[in-house]
Amino acid sequence: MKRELIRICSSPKLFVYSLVWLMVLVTVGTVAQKDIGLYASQQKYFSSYFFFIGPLPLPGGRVVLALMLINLVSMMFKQNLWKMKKIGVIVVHLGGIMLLVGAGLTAVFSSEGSMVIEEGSKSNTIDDYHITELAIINVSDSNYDQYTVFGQPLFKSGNNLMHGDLDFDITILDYMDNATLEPIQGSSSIGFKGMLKNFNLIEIDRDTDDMKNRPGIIFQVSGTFSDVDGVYGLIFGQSVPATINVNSNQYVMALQKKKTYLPFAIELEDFKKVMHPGTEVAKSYSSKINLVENNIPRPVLIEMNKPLRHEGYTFYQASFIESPNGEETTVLAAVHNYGRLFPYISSIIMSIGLLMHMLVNMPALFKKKK
Amino acid sequence: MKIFQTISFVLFFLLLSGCDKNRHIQSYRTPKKDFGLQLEAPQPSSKTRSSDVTNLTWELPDSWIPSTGHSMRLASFDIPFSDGVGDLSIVSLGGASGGLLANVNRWRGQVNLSPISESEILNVSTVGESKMGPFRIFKMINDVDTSNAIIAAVLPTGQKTFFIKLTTTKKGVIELQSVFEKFCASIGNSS
Repeated sequence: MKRELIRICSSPKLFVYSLVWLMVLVTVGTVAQKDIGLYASQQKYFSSYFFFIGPLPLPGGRVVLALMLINLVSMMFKQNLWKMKKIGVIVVHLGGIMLLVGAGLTAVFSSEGSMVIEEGSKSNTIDDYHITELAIINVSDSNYDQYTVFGQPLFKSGNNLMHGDLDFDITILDYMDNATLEPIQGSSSIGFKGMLKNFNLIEIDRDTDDMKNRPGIIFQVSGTFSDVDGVYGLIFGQSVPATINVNSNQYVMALQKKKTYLPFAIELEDFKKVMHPGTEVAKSYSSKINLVENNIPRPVLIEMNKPLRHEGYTFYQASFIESPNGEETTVLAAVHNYGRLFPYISSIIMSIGLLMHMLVNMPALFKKKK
Repeated sequence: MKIFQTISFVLFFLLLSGCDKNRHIQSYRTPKKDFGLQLEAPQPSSKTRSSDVTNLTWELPDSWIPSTGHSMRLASFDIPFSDGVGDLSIVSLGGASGGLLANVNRWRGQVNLSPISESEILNVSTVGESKMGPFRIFKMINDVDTSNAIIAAVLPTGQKTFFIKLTTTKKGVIELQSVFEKFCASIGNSS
């Protein structure tokens, strides 16, 4: 049984079929980008386990890569592989396994976002480009804000969200990738609270540019046994924050981009842009920053194609904002990727494997010629 | 062989860790932040609210000339500056009126600037204080095309939000910014 399982899993056919399917996904995903946008296409075809075409479920990128990984690992269990003359093949397979493990780490744990810093100020937070979170912030204490944050994967209808720091429970009723507000004509339902007393939160078609989408969420607050209990709605970027008061605690509720707090801060000392001579077109940007860690500042210059790498994070010079009175703000793209080094290391391993395979088989090649 | 069984186990464990619900819930403390809670005006009755549109007051600079505007506008003014005349409009809409992000990005689109994120918007805005409460000022200037620029203020007052928008040139925004801010600060409600 075990041997049979290894035989099926280690079949080269499985690898070839997976590779072919991967090529199909790349083609379909690339074509789909035009209609649904880069991020949505990436999520649907490459970062998914399954996707549907009509009622038909089809394997997504993650399943295909997992099959390829299983296939390569199973190959290692084959008895006839463990021979000296196949040492190169073994090393190449190990390199392939490493590449796929790195892809898995990147898929599950990596994140990317932006850090916006005005000249003279500092920041230690990264706002994710795509992922949202529901933040319930207890602002009652005069010394600090207490955040309780629920991530986007939990935004499924009917999901109950609870936390010991909260005086109430939350039940997700609806989550919209892109929403808009419409004024209510007449009176709203009795159970609606906050913004929903005056507005309907309506889902609209996703924009192909994910940055233009404004997610919305409708949820129920319960357990306060007061008139605070009811249905609330939030939309990303709303100007007036939603607040509730429960047991003498004041809570601010916000739908925001997922925030990552760093163990260090970046202070923008000076932002510089060089223009193409005689034009208003920028040639290059650079940010002179201080990397502040344990209250010790270290000067660093971030330029285009010269990012700052620190504690697993990479900060690229992405954009800038300039106000008419000369105040400048830098926009850094921040990427955290645990699997960053895997492609380099695995490529080296695979190259070594191919070299070993060639060296081991070289005498046999010469013999044949003779 | 054991090493490969170990690898398989580690991979299986990593796969399972992706399903942990608690890793999507976080609790932490941060230093106090201004959430703009003062922007929330007291909630008067709906009758009072409807009257604050018609009873809007402000201190008009001498050089500003009332003009006829769009039907949606509460008021319109022609504002002369050294290189032309700017167009100022005051509009009132219900509630958050689509939100700060959407409105600012709509204005940015009008001067051919690309949209920016919420955090970028808040970083480039300034806050002022009017007689009806705090407001935020946004400047939209496209350095490539300086012939169109906008300076706008958003004044939320509970169920209504007032938008004061000055459409002019880059030079106009620079020259008129100070007087624009003073005008916004003078806006009040006579009722």
